[in-house]
Amino acid sequence: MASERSPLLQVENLRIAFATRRGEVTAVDGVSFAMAPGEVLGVVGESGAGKSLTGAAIIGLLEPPGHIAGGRIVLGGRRIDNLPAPEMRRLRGKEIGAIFQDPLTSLNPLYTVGRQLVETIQVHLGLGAAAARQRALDLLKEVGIPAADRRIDHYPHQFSGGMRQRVVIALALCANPRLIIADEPTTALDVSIQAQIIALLKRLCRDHGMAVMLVTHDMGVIAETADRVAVMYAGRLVEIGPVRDIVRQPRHPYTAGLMGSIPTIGGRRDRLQQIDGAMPRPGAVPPGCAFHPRCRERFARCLDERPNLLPAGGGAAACWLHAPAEAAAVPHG
Amino acid sequence: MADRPSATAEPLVEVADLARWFEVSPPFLDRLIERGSRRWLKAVDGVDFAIRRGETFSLVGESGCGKSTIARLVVGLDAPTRGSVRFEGTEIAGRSRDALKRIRRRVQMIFQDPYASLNPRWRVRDIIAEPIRAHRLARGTAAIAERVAELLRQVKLTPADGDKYPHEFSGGQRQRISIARALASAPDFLVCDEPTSALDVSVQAQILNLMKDLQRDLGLTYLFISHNLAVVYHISDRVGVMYLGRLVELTSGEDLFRTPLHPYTRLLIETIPDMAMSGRRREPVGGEVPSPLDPPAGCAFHPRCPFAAARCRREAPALRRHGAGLVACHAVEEGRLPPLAGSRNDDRSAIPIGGARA
Repeated sequence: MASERSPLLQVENLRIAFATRRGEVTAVDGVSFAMAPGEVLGVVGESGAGKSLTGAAIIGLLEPPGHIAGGRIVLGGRRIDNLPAPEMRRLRGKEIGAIFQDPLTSLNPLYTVGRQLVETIQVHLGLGAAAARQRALDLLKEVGIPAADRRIDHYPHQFSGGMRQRVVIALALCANPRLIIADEPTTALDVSIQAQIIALLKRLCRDHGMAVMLVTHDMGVIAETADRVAVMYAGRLVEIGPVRDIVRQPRHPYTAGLMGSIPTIGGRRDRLQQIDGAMPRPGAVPPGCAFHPRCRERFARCLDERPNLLPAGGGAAACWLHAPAEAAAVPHG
Repeated sequence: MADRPSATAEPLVEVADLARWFEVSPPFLDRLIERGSRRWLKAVDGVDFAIRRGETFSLVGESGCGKSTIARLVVGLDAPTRGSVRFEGTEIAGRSRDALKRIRRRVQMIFQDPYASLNPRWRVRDIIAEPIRAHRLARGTAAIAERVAELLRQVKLTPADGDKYPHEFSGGQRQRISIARALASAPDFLVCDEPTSALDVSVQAQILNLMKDLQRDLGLTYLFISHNLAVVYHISDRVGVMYLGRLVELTSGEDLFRTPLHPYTRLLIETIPDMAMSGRRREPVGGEVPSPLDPPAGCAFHPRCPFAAARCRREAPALRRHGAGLVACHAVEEGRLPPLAGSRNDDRSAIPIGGARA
């Protein structure tokens, strides 16, 4: 895997806010991370943690009144968070592809899948009709649509959920983008189909050298797919690191609680580990560490000083337990 | 006829040859002109099981396998096409509302979507008090208020929460309110249809723990419907696996996950993305669940089954006893099924979890 020396994507201190009647509410606050070419970065967190918003901000699809209120997004050395709309439209699809949860909303029900693919290919690659159709056919074959030469002229409703998601993936691949934002790509699918789509995404990532930002609430999917994992809580990045570290030795108490609350087959069957309380809503995030009211390991500093990402294990965690002075006193593991 | 799972004590709920077909025929005139016949979607087609008092019995399967239809049949929200549902020996299926009034108090349901299942215009205390009033379980404002407060405390909310409206609560808290409402009529039997599927994992853990506590404290019996195998493993005493309207395997939770017999059960357990599988490669099984409108002949799973033989394509297997459980598979019956290569538990023990720090 390429190192941090030449990141494909850099997100720096990203802040996303919503204008409401009661003033501006910050939904994503000070999120920074980088992605290497060809890397699969899993982004996990509960509903409302800001993971989908972060993905939408990168691809320029934040819905008003949400907007980028601070920070920078840099793709391949070029700043993209302040691009004018027409330029962002050209970039979207060509440089960044998108896969969303519900394949039906990503496909136009009135056009055959072939027409949608051909149109996308022509817009981004400027190929002739015949060449574009050939590429569409190749893409459908690549994503594993059986009898692609016949299915290319079918409408979205004639495909099953799993096959439709394959079509959406083919659509995202049309212009050979360097980055794909996949927001809950397998959530609407049954488990046996989910496994097929995960395997497909991994293979495509390997074959095309694409980087994938995989946004999901399903730790199982992340554990099997991602190289690195970013954990979000209340709009903040609380931990980022290699997938093995995050799953087996989480360094942030929130990540540890999250892992413990997931039932696993073959595991213990008595009580699940439980994080009492709930994640604060945007606008009601407590001062200091956002997790401190629910944290069993909090101490004085957590209550009024917000922790930044500190090196921990193979990654980094936004937790004062990992500040050099504290780490010696209270080891966490 | 399949072996009925024999219960040691008298079962609380017994389902026999249960079926629910939905008619999906074209309109009468079209049928007349095109000489089409009537068509049926067999959502549930001949299911037998018994639920023992105090246990958690789960039905698991993918979308369209019929598990939610069974939940609705068991609580009497829908009438079966054929077969019977007995509660303490009394037939529920096809009986009138009045005839079921006494049973209705004792059988309650918790739904998947805690946003859709609570009336947004009612205060929480009225939502919870409704079953108490309907079944005349307490009389007088003070007695009812006291019972509502007790129920709210039971689901780890506060009596003051009764003054609020559902929209003031998070998804997990709403599901607690749904549970309090279900408990309001002091039921013996709760049918829970994907009760945690709409919730985040940390909230799911809170609800699953609460359900276990309530079962222990109140002696409840659960029918638990879920597509999530890890959740089913965690909560169930016994599990039935469904595929296209039929049970393919029924056994204890431990056995199902340690030694799954039916090839479909094996596929399910093999394919769920799991935390212990980090960094591994595996080949996913191809194929999709066929349309229930046009199920394959013989064993419905045969087109996806690596062990399918001629008999499987011809003859639907019945649910038969095999070891400690029941399984509907010709390959198992004929001893053609290879033993499972390396169970998940073995894999897991090889992975140090929370080992020494680097």
